[in-house]
Amino acid sequence: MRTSRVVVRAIIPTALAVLTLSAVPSGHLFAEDSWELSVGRSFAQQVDLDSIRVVAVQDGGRVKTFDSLARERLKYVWGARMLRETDPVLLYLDMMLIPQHYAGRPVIEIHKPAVRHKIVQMIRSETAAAERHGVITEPELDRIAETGRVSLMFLDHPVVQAVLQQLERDLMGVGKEIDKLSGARTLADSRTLRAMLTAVAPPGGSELDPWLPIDRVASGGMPKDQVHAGLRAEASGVPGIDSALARTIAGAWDQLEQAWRFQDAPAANAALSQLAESLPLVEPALYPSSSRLGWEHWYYSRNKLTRTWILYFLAVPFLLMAVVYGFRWARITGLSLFVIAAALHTLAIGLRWYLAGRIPNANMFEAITASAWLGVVVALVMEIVLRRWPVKNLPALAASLTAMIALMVHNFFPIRLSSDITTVAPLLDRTVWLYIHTNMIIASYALIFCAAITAGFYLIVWAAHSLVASPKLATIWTGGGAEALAGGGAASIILGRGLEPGEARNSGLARTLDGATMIFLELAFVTLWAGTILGAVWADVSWGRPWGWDPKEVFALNTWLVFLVLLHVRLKVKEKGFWTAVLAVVGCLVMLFNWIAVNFVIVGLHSYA
Amino acid sequence: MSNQPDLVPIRAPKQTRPTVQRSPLSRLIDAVGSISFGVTMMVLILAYCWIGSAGFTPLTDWFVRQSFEKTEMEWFNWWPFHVLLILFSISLILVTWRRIRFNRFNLGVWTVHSGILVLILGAVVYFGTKVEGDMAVYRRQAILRSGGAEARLLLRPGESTSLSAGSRRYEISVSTLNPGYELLTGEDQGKQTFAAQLLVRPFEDGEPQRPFIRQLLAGYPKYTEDVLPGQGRAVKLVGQPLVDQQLEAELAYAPSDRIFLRESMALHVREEGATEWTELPLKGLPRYHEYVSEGRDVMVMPGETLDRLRRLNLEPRVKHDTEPFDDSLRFRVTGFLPFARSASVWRPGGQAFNPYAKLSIRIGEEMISRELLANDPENSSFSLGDDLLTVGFEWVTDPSKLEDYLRPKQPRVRVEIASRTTEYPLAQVMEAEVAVEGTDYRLKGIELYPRWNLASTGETASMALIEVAGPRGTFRRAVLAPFTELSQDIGEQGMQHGGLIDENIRIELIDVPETGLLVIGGPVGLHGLLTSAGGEVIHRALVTGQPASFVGGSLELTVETISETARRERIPVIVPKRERDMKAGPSYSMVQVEVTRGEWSERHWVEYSHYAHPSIIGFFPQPVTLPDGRRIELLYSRETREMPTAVALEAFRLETYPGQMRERDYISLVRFRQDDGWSGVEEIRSNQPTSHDGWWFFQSTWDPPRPQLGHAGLNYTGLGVGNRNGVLIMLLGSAMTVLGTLYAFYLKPVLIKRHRDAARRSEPLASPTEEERPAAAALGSKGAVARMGESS
Repeated sequence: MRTSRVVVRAIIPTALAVLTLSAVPSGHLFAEDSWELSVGRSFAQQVDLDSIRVVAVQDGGRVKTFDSLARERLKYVWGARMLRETDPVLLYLDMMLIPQHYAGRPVIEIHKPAVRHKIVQMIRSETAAAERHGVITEPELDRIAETGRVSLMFLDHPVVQAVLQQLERDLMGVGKEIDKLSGARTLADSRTLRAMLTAVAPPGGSELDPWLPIDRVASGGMPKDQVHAGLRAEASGVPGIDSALARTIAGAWDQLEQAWRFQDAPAANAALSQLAESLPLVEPALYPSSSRLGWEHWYYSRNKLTRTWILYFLAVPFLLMAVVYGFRWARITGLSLFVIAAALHTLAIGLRWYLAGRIPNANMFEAITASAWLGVVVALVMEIVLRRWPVKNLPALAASLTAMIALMVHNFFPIRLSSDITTVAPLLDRTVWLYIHTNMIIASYALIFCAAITAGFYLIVWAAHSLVASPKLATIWTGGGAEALAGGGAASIILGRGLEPGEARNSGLARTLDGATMIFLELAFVTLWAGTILGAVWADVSWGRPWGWDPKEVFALNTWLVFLVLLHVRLKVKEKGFWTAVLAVVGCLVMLFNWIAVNFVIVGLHSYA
Repeated sequence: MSNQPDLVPIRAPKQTRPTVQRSPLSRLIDAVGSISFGVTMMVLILAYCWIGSAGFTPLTDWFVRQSFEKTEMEWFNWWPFHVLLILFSISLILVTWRRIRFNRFNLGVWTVHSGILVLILGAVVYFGTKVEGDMAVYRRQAILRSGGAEARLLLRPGESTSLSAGSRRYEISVSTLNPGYELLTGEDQGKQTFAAQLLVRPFEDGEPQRPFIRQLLAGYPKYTEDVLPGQGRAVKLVGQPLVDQQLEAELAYAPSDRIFLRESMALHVREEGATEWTELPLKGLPRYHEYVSEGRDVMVMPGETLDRLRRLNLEPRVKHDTEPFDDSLRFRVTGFLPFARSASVWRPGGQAFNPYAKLSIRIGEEMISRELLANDPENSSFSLGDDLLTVGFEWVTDPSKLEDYLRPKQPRVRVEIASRTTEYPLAQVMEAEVAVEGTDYRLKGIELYPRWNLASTGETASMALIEVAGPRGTFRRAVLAPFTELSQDIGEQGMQHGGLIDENIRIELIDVPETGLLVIGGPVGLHGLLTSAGGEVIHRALVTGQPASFVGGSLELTVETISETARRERIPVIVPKRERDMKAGPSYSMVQVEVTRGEWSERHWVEYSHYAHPSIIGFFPQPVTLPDGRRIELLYSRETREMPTAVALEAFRLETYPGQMRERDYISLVRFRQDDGWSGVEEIRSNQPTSHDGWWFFQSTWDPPRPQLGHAGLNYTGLGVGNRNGVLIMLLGSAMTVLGTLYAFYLKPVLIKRHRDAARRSEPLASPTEEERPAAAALGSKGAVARMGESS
């Protein structure tokens, strides 16, 4: 009775609120002055893009929705943060159909301040003050240095081109960023946008054959420029297409262009609707099902459900109270939120698996989210198995924090940790090792992170306990006993010493935290080592050598060595809990170094191979 | 590796009485066999691994491994690491043997420790015998025969050969290669195969005959036919498939039985025109830092500096089982550049008349150094400070010409109106309006351009813009000297095209000086002349290497070197560090090779070639002419190793993702040579190597299409090849460590618990037995033993 009251009062309202928050589609609002679209606000509000949004296009080796294409591509032009404030499909169509509107506007974002400052500084040093006119005036350069937004005209200016060519060679510095900028320039070109809108499946073709741009049907292969304006080839540009269908598509496309230019929303809606109806009919055998396209749109528009981090975040204080004070209501609330978050997290992983057609652990975003999910699954199992032991709640607490951070990371680094669904390199494709090696390694990473959380918790309370002479704190901390478990984590549970059920009150927080850290570490130790060995087996069959002392391999070994040191230092030192906690945090830092620095810095710059 | 319950001293080292003096060996064994020592070794191994991979990141950007010029493989196969592993192994053996009793409770930790030792043993075998390399295996070669002569042509773009049979000779080159040629006729219609089109140029007694293209299809010799360029198939034109029946051509495998080792470099030498190389392994060649003995050997980009000059001195020798190349020749590697590209420069010396000067000019604080060639219009002068000062170099043999240069100029404006000529000093015209005597014309100089580039011819002239007021109104005339006929008028309508506004007045510039700084060399001596726009000449007799001052010291000229002859040399330009692609490996490296015979010696920079044969990746043999006129070639590439079996490429397939824009897999269908021919087809693809004669062959690289060059690609496959001695031992050791860890963490406590429970049931009040002691001790303290008894 009491439990049900807790559920009704605490969980349901919270969950509903958060679920509502998670479900708000992103990039679906049109702000009046957001990006100074060529079309007016009323047109933007009246034009119905829902049908065209889920039209299938082939891009980057897979068939996706037009909505996905717009989101994935335009973020490299506008920047992910800016793109969230407007409708990407609306923006895509506007940039494609009214390119002259964007030529002089600052549409491209140079995200890194150092890069834009370097460009501005170089322009200033390469030109005399008197030569700085047009798009490279002093105020304009100041604005670019401050905002990082540049126009296509700016990038096409001969002085800027010369500067970019020089900077492109700076491979150790800004070279890569300049490459990205050039890529963004190409993407922002209406001709590129037209060419990428490959929504016409090849009639009679196979699933490997390239899809064709709508433009090809509409123009019969004629270029869309002033010279060819108004001209139309006799035959359709798509071999094998039904001529009546081709006429319908071409007519709708022309109508859309006209309507957009004259901001005639009803006509544009009719044309969009016609296109959305006609395009699947070109080659129905190759066209994906509408439910698949619908799910993909739902998944993308909900920001890949990464806002689930809020649920994990809400679970944390309740679980913390349950750990420290043992409040039952807090445990129920915290665990309920954790379970709901885990369910949404599972839905996100499963949906991505379905959409990608492969296990979603192959790129950085997927590895991070899958790693956190594996940590959550292990924590759920631990919460069930250890529900009567004092360490209960700690797995859920640590996994909540781990998953919360993992899902938030995407919001901080949307470009670098791109969440796009992509194809994978040949080595990763259709191999069972991706399921075995990668999952074991990323699971171990999650467990190492969980261990570092309980260890960090230990160190914080240890520091407070050491600095503040509080009898109450001392009671919570040691419960009159030792500051660490004598044995290992699993051994203590199995042998029933130090962490017996019902000892929560008198065993002390120190031993509970130490026990939890050891349980996580033992699991991490085994999975990391076994995963590394299985990775060597994979390397043997793919590269012909199991071990090549590649930095990635070496740092996996280094991480394991830290924990090996930990296990043996624990035997020698008196302050077992303290040193275990310190080394658990160090091991986590080495793991993060391997995941971040080795991936993005060491291999890129200092690998000889 | 262990868990707490495992390593508790179950069988403690024998306690010695204080009165007994323990030997130093016992004390050493105690020290090495301690947990502290083992932990110390672990920390040192960790530190060694960290430094080897990431240097001191994130503390500093000092990359230690690179300082020792070692690759990752070499760093971890170096003696310091071996010492650490040996000490760790000894410690592990001592700790396990002396401190951990071998019983069912400690089976886990024993397994783990034994597994680590087995793993280390396997690693010693594996890395000690590791051979790894790669080979490019091409699809096919064409075998060409005529009149008993035979030639082979490897089918890759740009390849060519010749074949002579009596009075007939053929020059044959690869025209096009099509990896996906679709058969259009017969029962094979629709099938795809590899097609090669060879351009054949026949010669009869040296006279060129009609060229033709011979098309060969892999697997379909019956469809071999000739095509006459621009006309069509021979079968339609001459009634038979082949234009030239005397030339036989067929496709055959292009097997490869040699791998290029991954990290071992070698110098290859051969006589020019020979097909086989003699290989001299380059042991101890640096990898990451520049080794340059003289600064002039290389070019450094502006703003960059060479860290330091240091000489390399490697004397590569052929392998012991190889015939030496030429006993009279010695090869030494004297320089190394990890990142450089080749550039062409002029150097004084040689046979050809080509006056050369290297100048240094100081203007204020700025120092400029340039090389000039008097006979090369593009390199005989340069401008400083937005054309404020032009510096030129001229080689003068005629003393009267020198005098002409030294003579102060008196620039004048000559005006000719109706056959009447008047001259005015240019300075007078430029300063004020001049009324031409006896006429209605008035002249006023607007602007003088001493060096005006003519857009039409690219030549340099002097140009004065003069405003003319006369009967045809007022206009401006651009007067050019010495190209007076190119002068043009500028009226209100702009430039007058095709003529002058007023043809009655002719204006000429006379004796206009070539302003700027001119260096004169040659039989007339070394001179520096600074000429002003007003015609004044400041003259300095120059001495090589000594600076000469002009204009009160604000301009200083030094002729560093001057020579009547100069030759073009290729010299490495060091790529600035910021522009280096560190993933490129040795691709941009160069070695400087000194070739010596007796007193004679020459040094040459040789660029890196990935293979000792032409490939798309690059092939840069360096020709060297010996004193006797013989020519040899040097090649800087990798060491090779012969394989026990040759491998041939039957076909190469590329799988793509939908859209055919992204590669999904690379598939090589290969065959291995056998006594009776070739083995069946074996498939190699990503994650699917194949094994042969103890070697693994795996997919490494491929030949991508290059549309910009018109290459369809897919002509060869890059196979990685390596041996795997000790892999199974390492796998066994690894498996032992994992199983042992699982046992120690999760099974051992269960065994202890069962044992304890059983002990409780049988002897509830007894003290822990010998068998129970591990369980008791596993609980962590002496108190645990007491509690166990209490709880019972």
